[in-house]
Amino acid sequence: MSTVRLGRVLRPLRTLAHAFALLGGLAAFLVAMLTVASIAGRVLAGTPISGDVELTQFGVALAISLCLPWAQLHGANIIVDFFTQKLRAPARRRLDAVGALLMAVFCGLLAWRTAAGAFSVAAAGETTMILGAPMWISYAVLAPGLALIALIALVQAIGLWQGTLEQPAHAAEVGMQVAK
Amino acid sequence: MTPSTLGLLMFGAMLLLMALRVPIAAAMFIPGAVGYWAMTNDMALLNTLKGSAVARLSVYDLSVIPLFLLMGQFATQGGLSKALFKAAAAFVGHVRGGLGMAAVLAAAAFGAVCGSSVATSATIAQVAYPEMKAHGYHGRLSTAVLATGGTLGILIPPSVPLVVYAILTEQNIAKLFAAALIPGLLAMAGYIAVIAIVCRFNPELATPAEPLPWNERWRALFGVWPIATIFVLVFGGIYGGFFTPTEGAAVGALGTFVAGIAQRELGLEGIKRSFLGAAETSAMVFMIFLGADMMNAALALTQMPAQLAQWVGALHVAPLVIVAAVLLFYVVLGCVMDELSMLLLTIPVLFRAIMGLDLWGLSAEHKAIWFGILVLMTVGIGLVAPPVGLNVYVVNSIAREVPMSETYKGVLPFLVSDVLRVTVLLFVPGLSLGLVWLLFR
Amino acid sequence: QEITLKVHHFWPPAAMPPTKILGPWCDKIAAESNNRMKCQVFPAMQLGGTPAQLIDQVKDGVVDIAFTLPGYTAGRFPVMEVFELPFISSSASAGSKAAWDFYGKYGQKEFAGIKPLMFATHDDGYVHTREKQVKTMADLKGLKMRAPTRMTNKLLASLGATPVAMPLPAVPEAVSKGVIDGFLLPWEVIPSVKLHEMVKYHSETDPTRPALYTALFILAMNPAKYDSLPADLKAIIDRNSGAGLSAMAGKIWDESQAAGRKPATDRGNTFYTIPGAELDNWVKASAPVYDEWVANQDKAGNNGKQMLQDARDLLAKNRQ
Ligand code: NA
Ligand code: NA
Repeated sequence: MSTVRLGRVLRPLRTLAHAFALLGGLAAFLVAMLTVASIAGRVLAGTPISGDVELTQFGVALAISLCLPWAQLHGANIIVDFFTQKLRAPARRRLDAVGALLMAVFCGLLAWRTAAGAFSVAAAGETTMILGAPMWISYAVLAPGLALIALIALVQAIGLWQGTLEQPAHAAEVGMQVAK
Repeated sequence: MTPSTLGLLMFGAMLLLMALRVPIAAAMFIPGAVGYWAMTNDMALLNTLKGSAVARLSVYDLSVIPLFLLMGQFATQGGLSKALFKAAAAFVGHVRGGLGMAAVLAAAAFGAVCGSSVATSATIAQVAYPEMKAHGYHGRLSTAVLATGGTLGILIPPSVPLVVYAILTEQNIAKLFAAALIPGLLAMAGYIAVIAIVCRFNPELATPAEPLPWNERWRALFGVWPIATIFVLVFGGIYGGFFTPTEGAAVGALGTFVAGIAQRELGLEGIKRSFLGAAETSAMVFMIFLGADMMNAALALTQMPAQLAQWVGALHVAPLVIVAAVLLFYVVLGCVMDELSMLLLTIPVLFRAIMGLDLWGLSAEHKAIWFGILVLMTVGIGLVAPPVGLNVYVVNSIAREVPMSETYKGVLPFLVSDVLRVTVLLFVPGLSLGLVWLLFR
Repeated sequence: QEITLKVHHFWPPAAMPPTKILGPWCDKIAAESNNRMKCQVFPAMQLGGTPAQLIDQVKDGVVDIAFTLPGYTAGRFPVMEVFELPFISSSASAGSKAAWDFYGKYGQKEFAGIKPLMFATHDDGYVHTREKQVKTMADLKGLKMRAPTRMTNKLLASLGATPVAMPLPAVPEAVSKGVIDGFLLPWEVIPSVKLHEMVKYHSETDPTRPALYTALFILAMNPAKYDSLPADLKAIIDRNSGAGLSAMAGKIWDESQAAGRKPATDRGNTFYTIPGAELDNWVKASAPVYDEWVANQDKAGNNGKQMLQDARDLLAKNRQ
């Protein structure tokens, strides 16, 4: 695969990951609003929002899963680089390719199995306790984020191995993002 | 192969992968999954993975983490950290090393609304480093102050590692937060003392700023009212018995959001950046969780954790020596590992052993809280200790002209204060438990 | 060869059900098999997952045996949920024995792919409140109460309270902050999470009447694992499961009641027993919960009314 084509593959993935992360942040923010509304309902009217705990669990799980691909694109997942500082850049890049490949295996497995879990739970007819909402939804919504991070990690693994991609600065990047 | 041999192999493979730059989450997951598969069969592994993501991501108590991170992000993007540093600098900036002290004070105050040390270091470094540089502060001092000061982000509640500890040990989050407050303030005082002492012996490290007239000082102080209000609202609410920590985090996130909007500091761009920033850190935290879950399930299958707990329980050594040894082990581990994977891998194993010891005659709950604070303080050391100090990375990514080795040199005197504080907390449990007794009678 | 059974549950290792029910059962099968068959118990969800996922773990062969509540997976075992209906079961002993018999008659279809070794209900559930004593149904009006099961969630709503669902470990914090005003629980659970320190009032029900609520437990085995056992070991499992084990578990749950109640009396909390005459109102108000259960069984092609009557008869028979 040439540099150009790999870049072309990554660009839509980046756009998608960016959109996912924004949606994830929004979901967490909506959970915060829901919680505050529930507190207000409890304090002012004596009635909290029914099923607020279930909705919080659902919203936060969704939010986190949507945030995973963006973190992988930005190299936010912590690595230890102390023992490999003396290595030459190409060797380090190959190691990073292996690391990205293992991330792809890890997240790909989880994406696939979580989707399978959605089918099992749907077949069993499981629901949530208060709202009676179908349980499979809680499983199914996690799969897209997990699948996207697996895909991004796979593309990174190929690109890093070929030398057509650079590993984004790790760890510190977390701080930079926070600080910008 | 016996299960224990397999367990050791898994652990060894994990450390090797970590050393070879494999992301920590995957370095825990892959050997864990392989070991699990070796001890069961492929269907058992695939079936257990069906529920892993849901089981970890939809834990109600863990939802405080993204919410506290969002609160910290809104505070950063809404300019609250700038106001904090300005206020602190207005009062102590003219002392020798005063801007460093101001950075520590600002980090402590910011830490009171932010649960992550990385975010606190980055935020405070962003506003304080340029000032310190302009006043001719030596890079070694300024970066070391910012890296260690950043640990106040977790030492002062709210604190992500403390939430993780609470979940792992089934302890009350609010009580752990209360217990962390005095030790966190001691840490702040210790860092300020270190700055004063270091500057006394090396006056060339820092040049004092011009003292500000009093009216300007008051004006700067007035600028921190939004963050002060939010702090009172969140913690007053949690300890006053109005809401749970999760609800407090939600109130805080909404509060910092509203403050940022009202101050006209937080626009659409800032909101987006807050979302992305919270996204990255939350993803990083939960990724490590997912990896550690697999490793821990596989380790549980080997029965190694139970054996280790038994072995520790049978040791004929003074209980305090065992606790000290565990903490020392954390310092060593903290040199190469990040704080969350450390907690996730060791607490399920060691906690039971510690709870079996008689420590100062404390009740089970108080013992768990006291030990949690000791662990937190020790983990804080790992964040700045060479060779892998996450906070040092973060600060050096902002202060690019200062070599990392300089920062590590500058960090050493601060580590002395850390070790002193941990020792004091080890021998005086009342410092951690006093507030718990007072607030939860 | 030696057989190791992987047993997974959600309690801490020292809790009542693992120490008083599971532990002795494991000892017994080990002794009867001359240690050829042993349990390897993993408490506190050590092998991963949530309590609700335990049932799939045993079904999928992730573990060999799971000790859990079918009700954690709402909607999945509607037939056996009859024992979680309000005011139906009157002691853990009777409830457990009846549940096993009812399973033999009606429950096997919904437990396809799972081999139950035991069904048990816990001791009678009562009302525990923080600031407001509950003596009549009207006292429940507007109270935010934690509901432990899907049925109690419906029951509370029909009695006029606001049901709130949350995991058990979250209850102490929630009740101390006033997020909830109280909760429904049996005595056995209360000291283990120190809940007697968080409330002042306990409203028990007339002991001659059926319990306000109970929840159903299951000890479940993976059928493939069972089938893989040699005949003599299978026989040991058979001997030590089913009606006998269920009856024994129910008895232990009933016996645990006094020990669970003592810390609350020692603390000087206020007790009240709701008399039968008042309970009649509660039963009347909870009628829709029954109707819904019957209607759902009818919809599933069963005779709901007949099943409900059979459950009642079995409970009455086992009460003696
Ligand atoms: Na903090
Ligand atoms: Na370190």
